[in-house]
Amino acid sequence: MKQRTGTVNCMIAALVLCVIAELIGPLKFEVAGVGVTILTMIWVIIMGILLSPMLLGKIIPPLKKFISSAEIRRAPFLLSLALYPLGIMFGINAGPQIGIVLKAGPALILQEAGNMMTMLIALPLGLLIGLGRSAVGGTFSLCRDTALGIIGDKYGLESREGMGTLGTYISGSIFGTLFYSFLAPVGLLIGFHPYALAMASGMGSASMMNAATAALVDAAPVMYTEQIVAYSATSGLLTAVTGVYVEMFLSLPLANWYYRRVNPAIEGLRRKLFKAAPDKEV
Amino acid sequence: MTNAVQTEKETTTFENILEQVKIVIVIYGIIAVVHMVSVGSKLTDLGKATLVSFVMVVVSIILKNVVKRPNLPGFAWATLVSFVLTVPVSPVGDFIVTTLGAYSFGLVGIPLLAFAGIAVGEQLDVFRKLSWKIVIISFIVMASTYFGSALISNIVLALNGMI
Repeated sequence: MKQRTGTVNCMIAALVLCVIAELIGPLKFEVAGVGVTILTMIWVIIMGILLSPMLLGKIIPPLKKFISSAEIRRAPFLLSLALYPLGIMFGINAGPQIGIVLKAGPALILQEAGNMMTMLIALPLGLLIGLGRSAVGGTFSLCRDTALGIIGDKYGLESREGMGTLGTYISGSIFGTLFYSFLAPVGLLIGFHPYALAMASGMGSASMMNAATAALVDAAPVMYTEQIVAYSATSGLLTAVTGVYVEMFLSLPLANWYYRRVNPAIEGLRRKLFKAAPDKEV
Repeated sequence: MTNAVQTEKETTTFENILEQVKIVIVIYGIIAVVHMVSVGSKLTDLGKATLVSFVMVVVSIILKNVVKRPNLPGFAWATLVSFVLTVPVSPVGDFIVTTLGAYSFGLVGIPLLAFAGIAVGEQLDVFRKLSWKIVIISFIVMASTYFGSALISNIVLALNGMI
């Protein structure tokens, strides 16, 4: 008898969830005059999370057997494979437009520096609320797989820095796709050009990039669609190639330098505000 | 001796590729069903699109498993392969783009979100042990990289007169 890998049940679950979500379709409504769209993909993510043995599995016991820990452990591997067909879609939108993409080259390359802005506000705020060294690990980058590797290597994942990175990693895994699908339309409302937001979408996680791009395509005028996908694809590719080096040689040293610069002042402020030292736990 | 080790290693890589290709076939099945349910695509058009896309994915999976330097994610390989094959000078470019026209960008990306959702299950347990502080910080981190990059792009594009 073959050992249960979880592949079969995961596939069945994915098929059922996708079909249900497509049947529900996008939900459009207005909040205080602002149009809000809940995309079909949001239903899929939410239903997927609900299938967890810790959520619906608690109420419906058979579900616990269907989506067990084997399935949950298998899902990231299946996710990595489901990304291939999507990568093809991104590529075929960028390839034919290589001329336009090259023309936008300076913007595409310079915006990669934006990936180091993760720490700008988050690091001092993290220190202020008492995260200490965890703030460095949790804010030096978007904390995807490569960041776990870098921090694990340098400090160990059980260190304060490691706990911070792990925290942002887990929170990003749970909320990332949802959050970015809401953030894209917000960006348009703020006044960013769709192309600028498209270039910002390649931030180091393919599934977050997909969520941000799909939401942006939905929210922006149709005439921008092709170029949005093209810019987003190129930006994602650039981050995939350069990301790990930027994190290792630029972001992390920068975060440590920033920490040394702002920490004494923030510690002083904390002492005045809370009369407390940084938390021992994260 | 060295030779034996070499062959063994090669079979495992080959087996890995084979397993991944098998799984990808099922994922294409899900993508096709979603297209039929959602936009009522014609089966022949879908079949052609699937076949063309699948061939490129197989190439990407092989590259991912064989090329270790640079160690790119599979998604990046897939983007790279289809990007190169569809640049204007490519003889197959038009054919690929037209055939894949049967696919909707949003629908191809849907199955992976189901896996992403299911994968969260394991992390919910750890998540409960996280402090609310790091969760708030993570939201600021996510927003900062996005809007930070968008700000730079917006300025540079405007300076170049592209928007």
